[in-house]
Amino acid sequence: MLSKALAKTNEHKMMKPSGDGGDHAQQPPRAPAVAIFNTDQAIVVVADMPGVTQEHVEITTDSETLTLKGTVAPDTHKGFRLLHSEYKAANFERSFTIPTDIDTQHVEASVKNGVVTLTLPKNKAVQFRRIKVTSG
Amino acid sequence: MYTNNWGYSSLLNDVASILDQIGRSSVSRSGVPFLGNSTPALNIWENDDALVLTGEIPGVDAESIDISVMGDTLTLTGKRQFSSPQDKETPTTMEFNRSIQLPYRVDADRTEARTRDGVLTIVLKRPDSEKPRKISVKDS
Repeated sequence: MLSKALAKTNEHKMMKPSGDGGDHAQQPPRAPAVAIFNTDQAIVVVADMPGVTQEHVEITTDSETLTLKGTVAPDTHKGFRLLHSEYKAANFERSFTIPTDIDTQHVEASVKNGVVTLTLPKNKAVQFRRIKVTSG
Repeated sequence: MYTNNWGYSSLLNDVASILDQIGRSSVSRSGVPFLGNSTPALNIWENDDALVLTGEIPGVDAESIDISVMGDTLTLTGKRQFSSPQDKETPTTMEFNRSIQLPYRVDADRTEARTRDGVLTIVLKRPDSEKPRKISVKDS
């Protein structure tokens, strides 16, 4: 399954929430939830990274791995006491194993409403093509 | 003192992170693919004048969010629209609907909310009757 081949989460970095909400600088990064799609031309990765803007997304690739990182401002409110916490606004980080037929030079990314969409074009040789059959 | 879902919210966090690790987040805190009635996850702050609620709502447009306040109950609904790259013609809509009981009544007329980059912030002012009052102690 393509998505399983792609996704190798940094599981040791997954944080266990402890209901405390607070010190952002010391939080280990969390892995964003992703949905991965396979189209004829590309693999598309949609990652939920609320609080992340364009300037705070970092995408790096080497021959085998694609790493997606995002930094966010901490959820703190000066002069307020934390009553209840269901999430910690930690930075995001997740790595994926890239199949060899991805054109890593032409990866594109966009962000909107805290959702990062990564498009990983497939090398032309492996793009899905319909072969026309002629008769005669 | 605080009832309902606050007691088991950390259990939900643990369940969500386990399911995400095995690649099937059917209980999704961040909205993909399933939004339920405990979404979004919220942090709640207070000072003597106000409550502030923050929540992560990636992919949700501000116009789709509906916030209503009555007494000490806040209800939050919204929609996330998503177009799959495999089928751009049929967008999926995911809805969330969460009611939360606040620790005290708030002033619905002085509530403000804003979203930015998928993070929702709601400021709820406390009416004078719900603000802490300092009692001075006389030494007689």
